Amino acid sequence: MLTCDITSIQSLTSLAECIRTLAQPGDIFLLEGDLGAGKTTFVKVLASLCGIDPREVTSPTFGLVHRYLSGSPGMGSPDPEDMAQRFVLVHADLYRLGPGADIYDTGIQELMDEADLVAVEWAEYLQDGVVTHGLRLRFHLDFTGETDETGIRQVEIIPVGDRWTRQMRALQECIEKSHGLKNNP
Amino acid sequence: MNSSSKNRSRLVLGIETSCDETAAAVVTSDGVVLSDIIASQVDIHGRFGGIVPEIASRIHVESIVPIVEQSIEEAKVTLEDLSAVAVTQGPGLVGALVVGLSFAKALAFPMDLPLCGVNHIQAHLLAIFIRDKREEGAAAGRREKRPEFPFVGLVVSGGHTSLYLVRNPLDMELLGATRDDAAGEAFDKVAKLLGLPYPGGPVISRLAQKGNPEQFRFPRAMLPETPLDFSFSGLKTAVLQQVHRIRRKGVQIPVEDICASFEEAVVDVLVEKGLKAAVQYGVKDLVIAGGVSANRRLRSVAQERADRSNVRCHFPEMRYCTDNGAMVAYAGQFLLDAGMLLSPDADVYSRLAF
Repeated sequence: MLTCDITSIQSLTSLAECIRTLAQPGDIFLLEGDLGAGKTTFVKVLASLCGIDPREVTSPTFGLVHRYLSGSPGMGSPDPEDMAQRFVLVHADLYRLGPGADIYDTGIQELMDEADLVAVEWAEYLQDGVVTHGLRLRFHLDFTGETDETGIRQVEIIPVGDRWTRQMRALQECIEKSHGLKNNP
Repeated sequence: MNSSSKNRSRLVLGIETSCDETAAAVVTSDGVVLSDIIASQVDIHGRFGGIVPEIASRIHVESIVPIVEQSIEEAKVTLEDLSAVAVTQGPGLVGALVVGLSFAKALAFPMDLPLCGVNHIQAHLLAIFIRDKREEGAAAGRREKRPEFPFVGLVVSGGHTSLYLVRNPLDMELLGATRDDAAGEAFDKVAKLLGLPYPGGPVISRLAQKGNPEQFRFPRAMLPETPLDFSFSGLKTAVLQQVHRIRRKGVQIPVEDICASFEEAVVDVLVEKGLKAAVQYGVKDLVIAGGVSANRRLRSVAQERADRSNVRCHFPEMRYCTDNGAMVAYAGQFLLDAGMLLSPDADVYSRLAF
C-alpha cells in the first residue's frame, strides 16, 4: 500500500498522471471516501488526461453511471468507425445503491465492459471479487489543523490483481519524482 | 401558446418515469391540464436515504398501468380521444426511463397513435405554460405575465442544474451546467452530513427559516472562465469542514444557521447566474423550473433581484415544479406539430452531453 498527501489540484493531477501512465485498457479504479473527499475531482483530472473535456465530468450520483468520450462531445453515440477512435471512460457512483450494490441490475456492468478505463465512486459498497484488476484509492479529507478552503487529503493506494501489485514499485517511483506530491512511507 | 378552438380538442397523454415518480397526465394543446396523476416513491426511498434505482424500476412497472388508467379516467376522455402519446425519453435513470418508453410504445403503436420522445429538462421549462383546468377562467389575466420567447431557462433539480437560451419550445441552447454536483444533490448531501432525512431540500428549507443566513460565509463558486457554469461540490465540502470544526470544539452544531447559510449560498449563485445569462443574451424573461424551484427562498430572492435588473422572473406552479406527466404531455405537442416522432426502435438516453 502507498499513501500520499494531496495538497492541491496540481498534486492530484500528478498522482493521476502516474496512474494513467501505468494503466491498461479495462482497468478499474475503485474510489472510496466520504462526501467531499475528492473522488469526483480525481475523475475530472483523470478524464482530462484521457483527452476528455473535464467539464463533461459531473457527479453521477443521480444517474448512477456516466460515459465520457474523448474528442468533441455530442449527444448519443458517434458512428462505430468514429467510436473506435474515441477513448471511453466510464464513471459510476454507488452512493444511492448502498452496501452490496448490484452493478448488473442497474446497467453499470454493461457500460463498464465497453470502457477503456472505469472509475467507481463509493466503491466500498461494491461486492467483493467483482473487480480483478485495478487500484483501490481511499480518499481521506484531513480536518486536523487550520485548513484552507479546499483542505488537505490523503490517498491510500491499494493494488487489485497481479499486474498492479507488480507495478506498485513503479508507481511509487513516479509519485516520488512528481512535483508537489508527497509519498508517506 | 395561444388557445384556439381548433386546437382545443387535441389531447396528448404524457408519461413520465425518469426518476422516482410514476406520472401520467392528459393536457390540451393550449396547456390546460385535464388530469395529472403522480405516484411518488419518496416515502419508500426515504427509508434508504435516497432513491434505490432497482427498486425504482420495479415500482414503475407496478404503478404505470393504474396511473395511466387513472389519468384517462380523471380527464373524462377515452384513449380514442388522444392525438398522441408523449413520453420522457431522457435524461434520467435508464432502468426507470425504459419502463415508461416501453409502456408508451405498447400503448401508442397498436392504436396508430404518434409517439413523441420528450426531453425531460426541456419539459420542465415548458411547465411554465401549463395550468390546471380549474384555473382556466382566471388564466386570461395571468397570460400576459407569461414569458416571451426567447427567454433564459434555469432547470434546478436533484439531477440537473442547467441554463438554457430558449428560442422556442423546440430550440433550446445549453448555456451552462453544473460541473460537479446538481443543486438538489447538494441539498441532499448536506442534509445527509447533518444527519437530516431524505429528500434534503424541503428539510433544509424548513430549518433555514429559523436560522441566520449570514452566520457562516460559505463559498459561492462564480467560475470566471465559464461564468454560466455551476459548481456546488466546494460548497458541500465547506459545509462539511465547518461541521467538523464546530464538532471539534465540542459545542452543539447550529443546524438551523448552517442550513440557512448553505441555502443562501446556493440561492445566491442560482439567481446571480440566471440573471447574468438573461442580461448577457438581452432577454427580458427568466424561467426557473425543476424540483429546487419550489424552494421559497429561491423564489423570493430571484423575484426581488430580477425586479432590480428589469428582468421578469417566472416559476411554474408549485405542483408542476417537481416531476409530473403534464409537462411531458405539453412538451409532446410541439414535437407532434413538428412531426418529430419516435419509431418503434427508439431508445432512452441517460444524460445530455455538453
